[in-house]
Amino acid sequence: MTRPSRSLFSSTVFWAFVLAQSVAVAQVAPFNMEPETRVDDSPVLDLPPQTSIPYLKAPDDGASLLPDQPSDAAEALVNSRPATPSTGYQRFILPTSKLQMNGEMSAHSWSVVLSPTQAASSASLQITYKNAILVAPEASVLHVSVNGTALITERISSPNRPKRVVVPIPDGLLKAGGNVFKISAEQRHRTDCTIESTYDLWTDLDPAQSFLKFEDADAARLRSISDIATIGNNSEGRTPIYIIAPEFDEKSPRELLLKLAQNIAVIANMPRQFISIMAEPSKEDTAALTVYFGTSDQLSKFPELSQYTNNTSGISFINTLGNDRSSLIISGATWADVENEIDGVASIAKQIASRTPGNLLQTHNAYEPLPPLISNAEDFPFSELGFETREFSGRRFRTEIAFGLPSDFYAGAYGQFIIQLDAAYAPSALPGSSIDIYVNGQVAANVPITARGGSIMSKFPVKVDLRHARPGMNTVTIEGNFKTRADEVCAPGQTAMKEQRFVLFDTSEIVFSKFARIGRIPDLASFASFGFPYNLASANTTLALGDTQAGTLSAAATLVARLAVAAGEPISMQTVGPNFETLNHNTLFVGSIAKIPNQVLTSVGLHSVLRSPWAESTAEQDTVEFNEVLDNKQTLDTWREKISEKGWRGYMSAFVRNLQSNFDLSEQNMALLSSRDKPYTAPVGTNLLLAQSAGLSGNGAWTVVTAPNGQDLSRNVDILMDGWGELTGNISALRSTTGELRSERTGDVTFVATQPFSIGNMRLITTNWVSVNIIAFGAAFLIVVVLLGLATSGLLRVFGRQS
Amino acid sequence: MMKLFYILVWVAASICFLFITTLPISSQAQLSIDVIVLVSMIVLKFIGPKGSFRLVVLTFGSAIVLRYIYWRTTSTLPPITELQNFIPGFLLYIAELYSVMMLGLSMFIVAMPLAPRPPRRLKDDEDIPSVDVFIPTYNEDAELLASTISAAKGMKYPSDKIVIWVLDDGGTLEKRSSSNLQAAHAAETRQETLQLLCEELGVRYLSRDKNEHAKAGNLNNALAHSTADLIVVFDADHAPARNFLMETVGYFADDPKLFLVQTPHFFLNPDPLERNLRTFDKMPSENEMFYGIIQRGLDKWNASFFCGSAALLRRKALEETDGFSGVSITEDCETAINLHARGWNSLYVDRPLIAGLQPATFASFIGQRSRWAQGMMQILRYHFPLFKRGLSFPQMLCYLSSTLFWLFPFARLSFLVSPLLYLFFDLKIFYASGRDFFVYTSVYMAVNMIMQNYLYGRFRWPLISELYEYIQTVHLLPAVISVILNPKRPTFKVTAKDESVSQSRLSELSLPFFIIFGILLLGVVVTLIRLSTDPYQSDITIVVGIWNFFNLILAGCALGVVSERGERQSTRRVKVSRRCDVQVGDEWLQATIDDVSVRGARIEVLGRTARTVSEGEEVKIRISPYAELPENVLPVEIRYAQNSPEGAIFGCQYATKNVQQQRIIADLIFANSEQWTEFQMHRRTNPGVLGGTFSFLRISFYQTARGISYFLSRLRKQNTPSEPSTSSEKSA
Repeated sequence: MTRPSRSLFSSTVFWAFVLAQSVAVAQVAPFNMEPETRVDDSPVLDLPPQTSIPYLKAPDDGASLLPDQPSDAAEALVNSRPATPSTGYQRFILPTSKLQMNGEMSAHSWSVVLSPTQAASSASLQITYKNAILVAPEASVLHVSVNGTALITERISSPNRPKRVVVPIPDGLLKAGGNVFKISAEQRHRTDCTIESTYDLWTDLDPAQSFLKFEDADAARLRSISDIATIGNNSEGRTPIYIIAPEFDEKSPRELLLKLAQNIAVIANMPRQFISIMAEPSKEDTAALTVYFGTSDQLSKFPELSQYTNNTSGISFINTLGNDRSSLIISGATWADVENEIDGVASIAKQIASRTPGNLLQTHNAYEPLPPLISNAEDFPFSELGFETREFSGRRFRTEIAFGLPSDFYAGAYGQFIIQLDAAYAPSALPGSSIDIYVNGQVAANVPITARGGSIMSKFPVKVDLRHARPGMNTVTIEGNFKTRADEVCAPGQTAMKEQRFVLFDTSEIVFSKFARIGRIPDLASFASFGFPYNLASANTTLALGDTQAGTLSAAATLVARLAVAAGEPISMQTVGPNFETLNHNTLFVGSIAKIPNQVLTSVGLHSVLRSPWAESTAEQDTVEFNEVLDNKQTLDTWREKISEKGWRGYMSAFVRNLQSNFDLSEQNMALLSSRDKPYTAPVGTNLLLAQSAGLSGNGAWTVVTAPNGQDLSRNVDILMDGWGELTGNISALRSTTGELRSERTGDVTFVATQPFSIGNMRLITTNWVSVNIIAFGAAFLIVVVLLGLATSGLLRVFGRQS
Repeated sequence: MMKLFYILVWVAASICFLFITTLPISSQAQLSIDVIVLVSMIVLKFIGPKGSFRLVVLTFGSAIVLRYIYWRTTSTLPPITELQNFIPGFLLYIAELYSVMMLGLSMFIVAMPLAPRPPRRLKDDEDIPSVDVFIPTYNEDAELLASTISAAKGMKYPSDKIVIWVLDDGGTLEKRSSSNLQAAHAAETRQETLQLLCEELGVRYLSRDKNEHAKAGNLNNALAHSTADLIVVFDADHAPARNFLMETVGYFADDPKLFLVQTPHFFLNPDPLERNLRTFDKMPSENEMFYGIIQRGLDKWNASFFCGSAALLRRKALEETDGFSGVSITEDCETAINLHARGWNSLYVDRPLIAGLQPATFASFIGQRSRWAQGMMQILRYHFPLFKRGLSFPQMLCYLSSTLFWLFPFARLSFLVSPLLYLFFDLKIFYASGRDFFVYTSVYMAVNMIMQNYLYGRFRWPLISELYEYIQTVHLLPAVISVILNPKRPTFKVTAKDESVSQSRLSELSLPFFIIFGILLLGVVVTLIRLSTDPYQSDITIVVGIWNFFNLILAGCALGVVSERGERQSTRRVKVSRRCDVQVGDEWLQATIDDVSVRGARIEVLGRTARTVSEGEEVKIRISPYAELPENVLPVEIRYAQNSPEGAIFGCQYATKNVQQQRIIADLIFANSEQWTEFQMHRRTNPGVLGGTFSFLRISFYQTARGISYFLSRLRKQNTPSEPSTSSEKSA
């Protein structure tokens, strides 16, 4: 689930741009109730009709869109369905901008929410992929299943061009609500038998060419508010929501606007939503959902809406630009009426959100099954985490499971969980093989295989560090690397051998013991994953806007909507700005850096940035290639290596650094008391900064989202959404050109009690604290030891015989 | 009130301490406290603070030990689903827990040992209690007994208040009427000889009908025949100094509830380890840790116990328990625990007032230790200290420590076997990453050594305890197991202490040590093989290999212990400096006695006429004895003579004509206890952890080679049967 590569991204932008031009030429009136047919007549005839506009997809089979598509499209169709042009509705299914199946074993599963109409409609599934040339077709298979029913079993055999696979969906397989899609790939190398060679194996799925196609064009229609849950994502995995609010800079509707945005976001519940607020419909209409918001008076400027705004029912959907999309109108005679309607939306949002049980982590349809939200000593068999017993004949076994941690998770420095492996490996697995466990992509445990002649592991405990775990969703990757004599020889056809080397049973368990729980401010990780602390019932949150321009408002709405999705419910907020007289305890500041009050910048540690050149940098300045920008830390390391370390001083410093890296010691560990004397400098090329502090009073949370003066806040916030799940520490810097996020932790932490007081929890909290602040711990330890020593000595002087 | 306050402060501090040491912290945090503790301990050790800071050092050590145990318990045990790993892993864990518990108990005991008491001499105007001196004997020869009795006779005490009893269990009616005619005759002769000896020296001879209840029965028989207020017990080979009673009797007047005054056992000869490793003159003896510090620590808690000899007991107390207890084969400790439980007090005088002999051969050393171990196990079984009513809580802990100590063979065995289980069978019985092993186990071991050195540094050099435990383990293990299975079985065996080894040889108990050494050596070979064949687990292999190698060093050193050196001189010389006169012809020349042993003396004579004396000649020496003796002239035979600037130096052997002359020898050797203290003090040096370890490695390397060379030469002898066997082995 990474960001799209630069080339992919720019090419789609290019096509979108061209099409926008063509639409602009072709369409004068933005809203046309007629099915769009004029494109074919447009002057730019040499363009393929209705090219890959990310969201809007005119019905066609898509085959002719691909530049390297063979002229005979049928050749590429596995099921050799004739590619007859037909009407219908395409629902993109991949919730990401890019999906790559890596290595010998790879699987992804997620949920696609469908409306009753869609579920009832006859449909087909299309998957388009292209694979690495090294993937051996005779031994590599791609599986796609829906709701547990295997639909596609495809030999991976298309290294030269994208290949489409289309299958009809059996009647009754799809259901209204969430449908579990699972794609898995088993890949083998053509020639090489090394573990390293498995990294060369990949199959790319094309999100723009992978979709459900409903025969019934009506399937695209939204009929009720709860249908908003089915809007899905576009071909880039994004879900843009446009809110058209004439006179949005008026004060009173702003809170309503944000409330609406949050509720819609909660209902849609997609991983990568973006809210754009505008006074007028965009000419480049690529939204997954367009919402008209305003009083009847305000909306009367759009004559095409008149028939809907005049009736009394308030909430209604209209279809624009053909049959396949609907726009939502939230309107009323007065703002009070509008508010009533929004309350109606909110009640549905609440209803939908409450469907997720509290002990599961909401993944916004991007991951199935929902991981357990672990809040206490608990254990889960792998079967409950979506893993099924797997036998494996390759050399690199890899599977991923997920679990959720609460916003007050505070055991990163000391905690461990245990994986009790039920597994077996064959006698052919040589010592030197190993099973490695990764948490969020970082090595966390290792089980070397040392016994010859195979072994059966029964509830074999593996301790896994929680060092890289965070509040919210965490992934655990279990990777087995197997060396065998046969692989060393690597006879022809060896990679396709079906001799099973390893089996992992779904009776394996993940076991958590009780861990420390206390809320922390600042902590961008729990902020991103749960909206903490704004999600607390007691939080009385203010949104402080630097200005009321569309960009700022859109950025704020996107952020607030993201927080609502994270929290699982809308966060009630009042808004202030652009001038703030009094500062609330819990405040979210959104605006360019010059608009954020100094006092706030000081509190969150960004005061140094205000005066730096960064504050005035423009996005255009950032034309330096990434590689040319020197990372100070990396450069220092290189120079250290360059200046060869000779003599005992060299050895000493090498030893100390070795120790530091072995024990993950950071400067923070060594600090006696946390200090923030070092002013923060934004990394080169930063476009957006997030910073949090406990505020001046120390009992709230101030979160600042800011960009240099003059940069487009909303665009940067949009890109931030890609890396939202990686936010951590108290200051994060986003570099929009690469999507790279740099998070740091500096300064003090304020603790917020989230659990009823208990000695056990206090003990664990202390454990984590001392594991971070080890010097302070050492001092406390010293004092306690000396005290006990002296007390014992005192005791011995009054008890027993005296000399 | 004050006590309550101290308790509350201590409890509060302990809660904080327990809280902070049982946090499940990260390895980084553990590393930080490792550094803090190690630095603090080393600095404090160099500063060497007295008083309260000694306890601070111990608390630092305990913190690391506690952290280790917490970690070991929560993180390192193999999963119970893997029984082949879990069972040995759990046994090793129990062994470690045992070691830590013993460390804890001994820390409690010696946390603040009593300083040596100021002398409590009998005042002239004091009411002097009557004393019965018991010298129980079973098979010791008359010569040895003569020396002991003479020394006892030499003790300063009003003669009307003291009766000396020789309690002969070798000449009982049962022995004399044995069905084995030869044995019966020997017993008859023995009785006659001893009776004569006693008559000549003016002491009472007592024997009984049956050898019931061994030593305890013998003593109880004597109790029934005597009446004095105080009982003094000397083993047949423990000769008291002249001031023994003057230094000890006074305490009984101070405390009417006092039942025991115990004094240390000081040995004139080395034990087999000291003899074969040649450490007797340099290194403190094994028992010095016990008598030098542990008994003082026990004394703080009123738990100093009776060690069978060199002690005074109150008859009134013994009457309460019908004399000495005889349920176990260590009647001494058993008597003490019973009297402590009845509210009587004991006391320890930290000053050698007797000099004795200890087993010279490895076999009799093991025999003696087996008796102690078995006896203590019986006490554990029949008088379990924690359930013994009447004992104070500190006394319970003290006795627990003294008895549980003898379970060490089990712990030693598991430390010996565990690394082999990994090396030979690939069992994984200790789950830890290399990093955790470093921050917990290695630091724990280092701290353990520093703590031991801090507690016992002057009395016990590094790794010597481990060596003593190892050499005993092999033969004590079956003894301890048998007494656990059958607590009534063991019988009292008297340890022979007057043997000597005239020729270098392997001990008859040496074979297992060579076998173990061979297995451990094989372990080293396997370590090297595995390092090259299984490089992916080299970290574990290295750690286990080092552990096994350490065991090998210990086992190598033990080879030296069981390879007994032949020695010309069988008894130790004691340095003295006493004026005497030597008769050369008709002339009495002035002379100085430099050193004496039980067999002879070295004399420096002034006057050139001394040079006329030739080797083999018999001369007379005249001394002024400390005690009132009927004679003061002792005939000696010159073994060698050498000229000196002022005269000559004689090495001579006593040529006693009657037992009265034995008393002169006793007066020479045993009269002055100061010299024993001096001898002990000069050995009591602390080489430090590093110095001690280094010197141990040096000794071990040399002894391994010596042991192997003895072994090879013996193999060679066996392969050439034509040569008559020159082995001078005695049967055990």
